[in-house]
Amino acid sequence: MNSSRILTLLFAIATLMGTGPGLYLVGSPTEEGLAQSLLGVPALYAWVAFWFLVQAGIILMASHRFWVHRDEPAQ
Amino acid sequence: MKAFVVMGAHEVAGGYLPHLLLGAYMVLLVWLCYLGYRKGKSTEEDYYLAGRGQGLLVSALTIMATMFSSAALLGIPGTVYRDGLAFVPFAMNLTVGGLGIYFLGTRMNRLGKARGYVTPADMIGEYYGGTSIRILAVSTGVLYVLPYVIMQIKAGGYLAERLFPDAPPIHVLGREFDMFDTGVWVLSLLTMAYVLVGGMRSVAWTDVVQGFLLLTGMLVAGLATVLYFQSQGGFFRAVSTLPPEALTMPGATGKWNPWMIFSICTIVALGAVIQPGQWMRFYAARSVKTLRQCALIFAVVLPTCFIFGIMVVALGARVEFPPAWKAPVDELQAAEAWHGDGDYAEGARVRYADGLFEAKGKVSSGQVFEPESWNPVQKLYPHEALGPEPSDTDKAVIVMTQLAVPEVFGAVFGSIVVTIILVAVLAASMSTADSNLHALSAVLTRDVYDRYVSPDASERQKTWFGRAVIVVATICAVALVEFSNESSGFNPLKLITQLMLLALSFCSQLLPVAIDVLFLNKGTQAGAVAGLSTGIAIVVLLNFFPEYSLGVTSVLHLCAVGVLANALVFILVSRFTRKVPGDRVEQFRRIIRGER
Repeated sequence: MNSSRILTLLFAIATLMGTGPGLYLVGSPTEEGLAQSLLGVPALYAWVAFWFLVQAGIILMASHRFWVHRDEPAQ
Repeated sequence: MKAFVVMGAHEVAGGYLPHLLLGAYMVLLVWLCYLGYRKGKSTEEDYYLAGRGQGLLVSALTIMATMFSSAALLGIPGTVYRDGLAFVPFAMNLTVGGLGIYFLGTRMNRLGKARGYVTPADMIGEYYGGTSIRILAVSTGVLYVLPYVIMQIKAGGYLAERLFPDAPPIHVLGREFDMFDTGVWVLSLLTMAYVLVGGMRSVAWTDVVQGFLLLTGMLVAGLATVLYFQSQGGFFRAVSTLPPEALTMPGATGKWNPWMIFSICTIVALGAVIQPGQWMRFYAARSVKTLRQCALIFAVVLPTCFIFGIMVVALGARVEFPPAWKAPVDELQAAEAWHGDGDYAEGARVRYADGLFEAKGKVSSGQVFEPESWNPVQKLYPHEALGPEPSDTDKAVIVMTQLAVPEVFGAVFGSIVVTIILVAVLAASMSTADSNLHALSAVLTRDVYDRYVSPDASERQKTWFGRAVIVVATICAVALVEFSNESSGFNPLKLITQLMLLALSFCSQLLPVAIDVLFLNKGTQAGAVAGLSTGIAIVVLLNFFPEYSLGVTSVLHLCAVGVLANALVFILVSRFTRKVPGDRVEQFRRIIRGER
C-alpha cells in the first residue's frame, strides 16, 4: 500500500475514533455512573484532543508530501 | 449556589472604553469599505469576486471568518455549556472541512477561472444543462442564507445587551429601541452598508480584521479561563466536578450520540464548505496553491481555537454558572393541579409541589401522589446570570469572559481584553452576515435577474439590482428577528446552533452534485434534479414534522438524512436517464486536471 493510501486510512480511523463510534469507548459512564478520566483529565476531552492532533498531523504530512505537487497545472 | 457579580467591561474600566473600542472597530470597517470602493471596478465579476486575485492572507482569513459565525462564539459554546463534553467532538468537523477546501475548492477554482463562473449554479447549471437544476441550486442558496443571516443579527442584539446593560432605551420616530433592538439594527445597517459599497473586496478585507480578532479572542478567552481556575486546583480538576451527564455521551439533553456527531463531522462539515459564500471564495482565490495553503491553515488552526479555546470557556461557564433542570414555566402554569380524586389518562400533565409531571400510563385516583406513576417534565435552564430562557445558554461565553478575564488580567487591562473579545463576537456575526448577504445578492442577480428577468441588463443595472437584494434581505432578516423576539407565539428556532445546522442542511444538498461534477461524472440532469428536490423536500418535511423520520433523525443529523436520500435518488435516476454529453464531461475533466 502506498503512503497516500496509508494516510487516507489513518485519517478515516481518526475520524471514526474521534467523532464516531470510537466515542463509545470513552464517552459512556462507568458502572458506578461516573465519567471516565485519564490522568485527571476527563477522558472524553483527552480523547478528542488526541484524535484531533492525529488528524492535524496527517493533513500536515499530506499537504507537504502529496498536495504540493498538484499546485501547478499540467501543460 | 454561589452568587456571582458579572462585571461588564464598562463597570471595570468605569468609563467609555467599550464605546471607544467599538467605535474604533467601526471606523476601521468604514475605512476598509472605502478602500474597497476606491479599488473596485464597476463590473459584476469585480463586485462579486474581487477580480479573482485574492492572495493567501485574505483568502485564508475570509474563508475562516465566513465559517466563524456567531455560532462559533455563542451557539456552539452555548451547546457545550448545556450538554457538556458530548459536544466537544463537534470541533473535529473543521479538519474534515479543511480537506473539503482542498479537494473540492481547488477543482472549483480551476473551473471557475476557466469558465468565468461566479455562483455555484453557474457551474452546476452549465455541466448538467437546463433550467430546473439552476433554479434548485438557487433555492438551496436562498434557503441557506436567510436563517444564517438571522442568527448573526440576533447575536448583535445579545452583544449590545451585554456591552451596555444599563444604557437607556433609544427613541427613534416614536419607537422605543432597547439595547437588543439597537444591537440588531446597528449590526445590520453597518454590515449592509459596507457590502453595498465595496462588494467582495470590502467584505474580504473586513474579514481579515474580523478573522484576526476572532482567532485571538477565542484563544485569549480560553487562556484566561484556564488561568482563572488555577486558584481552584486547576481547570480540569474543576471540570471533573461536573455531573456525569456533562462529562459523558450523549450529553445532558441526550441528543449527541456518537453517530449524530459523526454525521455532523463528515456530511455537514463538507456541506458547510460548499455554502454559497465559501464556494464563491474558491472562485476568487488567486491560485490552487493559495487554496491548498488555506485548507491547511483551516484544518489545523480552527479546531485548535475551538478545542483549546472557546470550548474551554464554555466548560468553565458550566462549572461557575451551572444550569438547572426545571419545569417549563408556561407549561407549568397551563397544567391543572393534581387532585387525589381524579383519574388521569396516559400522557396527562399535572402540577404538583412546584413540579410538572406526565402520567406514565393510566393513573387512578388515590389519596397520595405516587411519583413512580409519573415522569417529571423538565427543561435545562441556564444559570440566572445568563438569562431566564433556555436559549440564553448562548450567552455562556460572554458571561464567563466577563467573569474570568478581569480577574486574571487585572481591572484595566482585563476590561480592554473583555471588550476586544466581545467585539470579536460582533466580528464573528458581521463577517458571516456580510459574506452571506453578498452571496445571496450574487445568486439572485446572476442566476435569476440576469438569466430570466432582464438578460439585456447592463453591468451597472445588474450591480444595482444586487444591491437592492442586499437591502431587502437585510430588512427581512431584521423584521423576523424583531418579530420572533416580541412574539411569544412565534419562536422559530431560538437557539443559534439549531439555526446554523438547519441552514447547513439546505446548502449541503449541493454536495452530491458537486462531487459528481468534480470527481465522478456519472450523474445525469434528471438525476441531479430528482436528487436535489428530494433532499430539499426531506429537510423541510423532517424539520417541521420530525415524527415522520421514524426516529432516524434522533440517530443521524437531519442534514445527513437529506444528503443520503438525495444521493440515493440521484444515483438511481441517473442510471436510467440520458447522460451528460461526453464532450462536455471531457472539457470539465481537462480543466480540473489543469490541462490547457
